[in-house]
Amino acid sequence: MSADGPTSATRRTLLGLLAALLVGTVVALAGCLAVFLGVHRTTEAAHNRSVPAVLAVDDAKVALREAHGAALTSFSGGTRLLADAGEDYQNQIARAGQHLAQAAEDNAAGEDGSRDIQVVEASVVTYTGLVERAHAHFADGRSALGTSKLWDASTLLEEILRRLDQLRTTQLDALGGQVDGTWTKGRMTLLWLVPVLVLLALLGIAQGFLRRRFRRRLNVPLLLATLATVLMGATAALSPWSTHQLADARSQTQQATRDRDAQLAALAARNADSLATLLRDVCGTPGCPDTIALVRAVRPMPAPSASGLTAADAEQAASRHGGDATRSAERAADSRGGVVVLLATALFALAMVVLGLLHRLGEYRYRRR
Amino acid sequence: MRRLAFILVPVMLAAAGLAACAPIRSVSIVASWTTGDDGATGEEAERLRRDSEAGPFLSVLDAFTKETGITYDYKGTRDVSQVLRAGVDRGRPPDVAVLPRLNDLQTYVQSDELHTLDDVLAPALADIAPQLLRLRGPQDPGERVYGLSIAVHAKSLVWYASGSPAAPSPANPPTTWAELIGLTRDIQGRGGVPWCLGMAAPPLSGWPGTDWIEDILLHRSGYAVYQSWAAGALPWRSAQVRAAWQAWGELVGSGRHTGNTLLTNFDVAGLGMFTSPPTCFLDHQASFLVRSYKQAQKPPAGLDFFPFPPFEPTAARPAREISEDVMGMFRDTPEARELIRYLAGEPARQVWREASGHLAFTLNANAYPTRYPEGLPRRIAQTLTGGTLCRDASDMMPATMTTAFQSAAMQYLDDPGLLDKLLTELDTVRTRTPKDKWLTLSCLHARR
Repeated sequence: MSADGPTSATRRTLLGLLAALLVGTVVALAGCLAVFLGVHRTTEAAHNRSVPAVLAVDDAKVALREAHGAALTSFSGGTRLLADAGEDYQNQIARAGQHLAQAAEDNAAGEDGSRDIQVVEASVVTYTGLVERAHAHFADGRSALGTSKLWDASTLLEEILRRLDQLRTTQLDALGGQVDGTWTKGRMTLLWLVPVLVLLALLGIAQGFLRRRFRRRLNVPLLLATLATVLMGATAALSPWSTHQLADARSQTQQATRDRDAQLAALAARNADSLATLLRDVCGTPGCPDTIALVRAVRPMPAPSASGLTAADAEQAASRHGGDATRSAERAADSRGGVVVLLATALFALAMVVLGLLHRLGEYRYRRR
Repeated sequence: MRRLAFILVPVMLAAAGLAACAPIRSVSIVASWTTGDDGATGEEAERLRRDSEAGPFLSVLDAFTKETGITYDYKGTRDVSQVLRAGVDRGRPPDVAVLPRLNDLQTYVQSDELHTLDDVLAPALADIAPQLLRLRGPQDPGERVYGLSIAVHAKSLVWYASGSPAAPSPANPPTTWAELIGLTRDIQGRGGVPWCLGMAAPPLSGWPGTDWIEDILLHRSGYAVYQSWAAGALPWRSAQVRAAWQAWGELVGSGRHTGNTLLTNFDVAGLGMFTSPPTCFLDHQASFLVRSYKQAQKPPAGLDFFPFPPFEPTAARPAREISEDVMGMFRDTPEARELIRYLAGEPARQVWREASGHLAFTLNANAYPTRYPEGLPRRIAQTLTGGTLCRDASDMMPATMTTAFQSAAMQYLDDPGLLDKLLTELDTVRTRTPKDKWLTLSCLHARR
């Protein structure tokens, strides 16, 4: 055995530890960054697109039902000559237009979603045209023709709302895809944990080796590198928390849609009653029971959990759950400067590793010569 | 043996890889036949789809998939025009679409968004010649095939329940307009309501009325006048068109029971024939209405029809109004071509006939009435083979003209005193509509 034997073995071990720690830090940083960015891109998409798109579609549906109700009230309220479909109707149609524009901007359902929105926008134009013609007939005192146009408008409205239902389903599917996506799955969010644990183990091994070989209780730079690694892990640990918030956002969005359905069902029932009254007035003898039955048959059924709510209660609940969903999505998407923290802690850890081991390696370079 | 394995294993792996990577062959279709499965899932959705108006066509598509391995993505929607417009505007139209309005075909040909079927269907096949729609696009030196008519509906039919005491007897139906008036007055004399009138067809009410005007004009003035009017060349205020409106008003008593008529759906109005006592006795409707009768009354007792009669006894072949569903190709893909070729063939027609209870008809020259069972299906098929067939004028007119026509039909029924005003306004719309928006298609003459 040569006199250099233990010295060169220590040097080799130190070099090996240095390389392993550097590589380990880079790999841990890569793992943490990948998961962090993957999760936050997904949660940002949910916050900026799918959650607001679902809520906007529901808001558009409510505005359209409210507009139709306002028109029916106006045409059965004894002011047919003085007013058109009414101020409320105009306001609600304008609101519906704004919500549709919002849904188009936030659309998370790709080309199919865009096409559905375009069809709905075109159909709303046709719908308003029918209501205007109904008004013209009512103003001429031709109630049967006016009611006929209103019934045409009602039927078209149901088609528009069915298309909006499909659109909402595709937006909810997009949100579901984000919640259950590659980066937001439980196991994937822990991908960072393995390299961080390995790095911590390596730092522990290095600390133990230095303590045994050089009889120092602690290597302070390596201790600081260990703390930086823990901070890196803690920052990456925000990702599972974000995915949890995203799951909350989805369930609150779903609850908001159920509440909206209850509100829409109540509004639909009110509108059907108004139209049935108009039909009874103009159908004469022997009446038009088949038509009235058809009008009443289009009432949508509210979701079981939301049934029994009045329109006002359902509206309040929908607003509350919609707000909760938005806040959860916002929390999920808030990265809190995590990328900067990850990069800074990783660079700091790298520097400390180099500082902690180079000094010892320097000693061996001198002895060997 | 080992050497063989060394060769076979990589080859098999490569083949498996290629098979896995091979794109799924699929074709997307938009049509107006709805599937009625909104919100339903699983077996319930499948049952609703099969029982829906789209059911028979879906059976044809299933047979196509079975034969070719090409899957399909079917979207059934009432607003075909708007869905199609949205798709075309975004550069993502379906591969093929079934258009119920012939003028839409003209619109897309004019804007160069429809592919010709010249090299898809062999025009040499004489049997499909009546099914081909030839139009001239902006770049075309002459007319080219742009549409394949895949379904046809007989429109000049008057339905009745033959068991009713006041209804006509199957052996002795009215054969002239005067006899039809006589039958109407006879029913009125017995205290009955002769016509089951339902003008509502939300969201586009009024077309049942336009069918009346078209049928009367066709039978009163002949197909040459009808063609000229449908193409926008004959004024609405012409004596022939005015007389058609007046004849309709005289027959059905416009201005009476208005609310009821305007607000009753076209597909429920005729069900009054089957009540006891009947609330009405005659229903002017197309062949596709048999499905509604059958759904409401199983089976509809004594359901029968007679062809809309000519105004005078004539030796000429009868004229009939028809409507069509026409397929156009918006994306030229091998799968779209295969589907169109398949739909032009007898196997597709046979599947369609059987799946529809023998109530699916085409203009195919080989669609002999004898291919249908005796009774209503064969008699309907006979009306489509023995005379001059003229396409629904309101389907050929530009959309603005059609909407005005439908509105006018409703308003005239409500108040016949408005006829002059309505015809004047219809002429205003006609003259304002650019000439290139009108579709000129000749009537089809007797095949045998």
